[in-house]
Amino acid sequence: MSPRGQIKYEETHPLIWWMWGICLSVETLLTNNPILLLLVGVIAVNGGASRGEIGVFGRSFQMYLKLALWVVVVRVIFQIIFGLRIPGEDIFSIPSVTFHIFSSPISIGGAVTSQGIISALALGIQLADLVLIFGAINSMSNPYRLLRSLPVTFFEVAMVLTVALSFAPEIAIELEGVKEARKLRGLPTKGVRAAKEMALPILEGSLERSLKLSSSMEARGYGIHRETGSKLRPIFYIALVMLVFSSFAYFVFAQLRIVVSLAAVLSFVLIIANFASNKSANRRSRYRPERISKRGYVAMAASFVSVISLVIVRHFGSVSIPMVVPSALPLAPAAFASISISALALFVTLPSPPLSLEIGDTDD
Amino acid sequence: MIRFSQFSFRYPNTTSPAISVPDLTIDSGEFVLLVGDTGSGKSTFLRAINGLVPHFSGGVTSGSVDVFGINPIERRPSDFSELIGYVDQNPSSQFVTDRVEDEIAFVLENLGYDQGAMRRRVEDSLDLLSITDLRRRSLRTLSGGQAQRVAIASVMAVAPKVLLLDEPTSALDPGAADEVMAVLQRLVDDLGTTIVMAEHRLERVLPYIDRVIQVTDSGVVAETKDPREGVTRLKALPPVVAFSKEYGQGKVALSVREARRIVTDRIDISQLQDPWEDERDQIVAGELDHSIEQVAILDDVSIARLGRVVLESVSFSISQGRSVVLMGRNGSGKSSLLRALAGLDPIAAGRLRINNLDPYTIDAPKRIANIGFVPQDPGVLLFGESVEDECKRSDSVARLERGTTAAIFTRLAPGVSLECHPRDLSEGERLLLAIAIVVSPRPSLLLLDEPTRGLDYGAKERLIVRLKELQDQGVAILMATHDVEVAAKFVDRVVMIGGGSTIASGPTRELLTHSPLFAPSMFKVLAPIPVLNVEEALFVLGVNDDKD
Repeated sequence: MSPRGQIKYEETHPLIWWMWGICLSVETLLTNNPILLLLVGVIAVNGGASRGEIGVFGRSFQMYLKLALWVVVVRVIFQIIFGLRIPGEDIFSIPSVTFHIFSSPISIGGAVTSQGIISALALGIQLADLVLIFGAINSMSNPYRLLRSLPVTFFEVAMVLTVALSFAPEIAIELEGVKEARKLRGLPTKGVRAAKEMALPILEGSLERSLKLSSSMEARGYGIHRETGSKLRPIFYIALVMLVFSSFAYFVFAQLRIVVSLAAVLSFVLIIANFASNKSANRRSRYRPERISKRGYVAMAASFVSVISLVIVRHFGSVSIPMVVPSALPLAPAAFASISISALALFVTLPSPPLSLEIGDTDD
Repeated sequence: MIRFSQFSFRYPNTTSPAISVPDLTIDSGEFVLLVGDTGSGKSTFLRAINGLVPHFSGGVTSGSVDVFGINPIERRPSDFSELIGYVDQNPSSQFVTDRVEDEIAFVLENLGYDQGAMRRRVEDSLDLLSITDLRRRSLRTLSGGQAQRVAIASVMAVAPKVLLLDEPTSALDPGAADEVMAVLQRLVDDLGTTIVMAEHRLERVLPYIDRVIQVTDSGVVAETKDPREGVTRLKALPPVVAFSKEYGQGKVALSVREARRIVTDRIDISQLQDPWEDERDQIVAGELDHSIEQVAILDDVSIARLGRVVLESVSFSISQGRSVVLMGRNGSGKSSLLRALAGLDPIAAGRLRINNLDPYTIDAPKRIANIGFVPQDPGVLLFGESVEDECKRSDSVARLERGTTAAIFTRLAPGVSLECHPRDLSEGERLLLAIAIVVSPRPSLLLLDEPTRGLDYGAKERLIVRLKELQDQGVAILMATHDVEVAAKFVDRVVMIGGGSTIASGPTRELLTHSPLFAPSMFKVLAPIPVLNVEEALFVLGVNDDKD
């Protein structure tokens, strides 16, 4: 029906983008090589820009972009002023002060080395990448659609997630509204004072919207079957908390990895078991369920292959730069290639339809 | 059956109850209208029936409520989702999903309807509210009236026993409002649904209802068995009632048909003289008078929204001290046109000038002196800590004498404390505050988007008086509204848009009496005499000597 050359659209299942994002985040945490981290950042930005929703959800991505830049800048400034003095080539030096707190010396300032800057950049970009990935997912998968795709057994979690995930886009909406309102009232929209005056109404507005959202969900029967299977509920929550903690612990406590992995697997099994035992309570039905398209499956596969190959590459050779190494950055081509695979997900999927198009038909 | 006994509720940190209901029973299958002034507590009362008050508001309740055997104070609102459907005053704030169909299916999904039943219910709801063409649209692209219909459809889907509707027709065009009322009537007649509805536009709903429940200013809820008696107790009356009270010698009409009968019982309408017959040519001549300064000029303007052209080649102008009302179906592009005039969005093509300035590029200080815009959701204009704070800010921005804005607000909404937080005001009061702020710098062009939503007749009256004053001071007013009664009261000209362009533009009397859909109720009573309001009708009938 659509004439040749016209852009094709397809809505990608929101869970696909979540998988994609989680895989990218894991990759981010597996390396501290700035080149690889930059690659992850580029992929995330590309995702947000090319597969994000046009409109408000897309605009909230711009906020994340600014935040990510800030993270890097602040991290480097902190390194210059307070950072650990990593030995290496001195670039410049700022006056240093040394305090003695509980007889241990703490010094501020001093020589700034290129190694210090590089490691600060790497850590900054790592954090910024996580911000970017989250922002990208947020604009790529509409939280309201995610809500419909989650099993009702997790209704509390789903509700909290939806309200939390829609918060950033709501802030973007509010920001726009408040800016417009100030324009109409002849008040400035730029400058520190304006920002100060705008912060409270924006926060208030989006909080109010979140409250309204949860009350509206409640009034329309969301989670109505909560009583069934309530005996197993505590176990579910314990497992959930355990899963979250063990995924943190995995990266923080290197010596405990085996124990932590076991805990993660156990909690995962518990959650699945809870879900299965609760099947009878899962009486929520679906109107036109969101299906994962072929393109979606390919995108998901690309994300998984990318992570797995990075883990393998990491096993055979280092993809990280040690803290005190020469200033030459290893290019790590194998790791570079592995991460690039996740960009495939963006090439195989189609952009989501613009808002003015009625979904499902391309002629206007 | 819904039964309140000795019920009262107060919000947290307040001392006096927001509502108190000594004793009230609403029978199953009744169609009840909730009336009361702006801000009297109608919404709170509705929310108390399905438990959103106190579960989502906090606060303290006493006494008991019983809704078909369930106590909403003890149970959670989701437990009644099959029993009660609730539609908020601001429908787009209650959306949970992002597509029309999904929104309607949401409650069905939660209740576990199977595929077949769900499909049928969704189709039925779409048909009932004539929104089948919107089914795959994103909720964020809907106009105010479309959103209202989707919100009603989304609670109708489960065919609840009780429907609670907070101003369900306030954002609808007259045709859509009639359709919605007909649907509600059908629900009551065929399914025995109990409907409790808060509504200010009584002329639309009075013919359908069984009973009136009145909420007084102090929040006391009391019932009247007979709608006629209940209506006449109100401080300000809808046109048909006001007319019949004056003319009918004790008989009160609730509908146009009843009012017409009262008239035809006494006289023969075809014998009446049309006092405006000679005036028509003069009005047309007046239109061509270019001596008055044009405040706003639209020349072949096209407007696009989200990449789609919504209005094409619109041309009209507004002269100093004149008022124009913009009418058209829901989603016809009225708000988009106002936004372009306010300079919030650029226009796609054509020429748009306000006092010879391009509104889109106008700078802040010049803006408020030239254009004042009150958007459909006036709350967005408010962000201060208190009403007083808002007024002070407005005075200082416009360099006005202190207290100017506050004085305007007090005249529009007497009795509202200036210490109130804007959030604690009712929708109607918030609107009046926004209007006070916008008109205080006395802009040369005042743009109002649905300014009478949620206002009682008294507040509407005060607003019209104030707007007329502004008009006399030379302010040009452009108002988008569905409220024909307001349009009929003071507007000079009407511009009707539809199908992406201007359909008609001309003097109010001529345009409003030519369209059966947009005709004010007094014209319907005395047709073909082109009367627009009660005073004119009484004049034509020889009861009142004063034509204006």
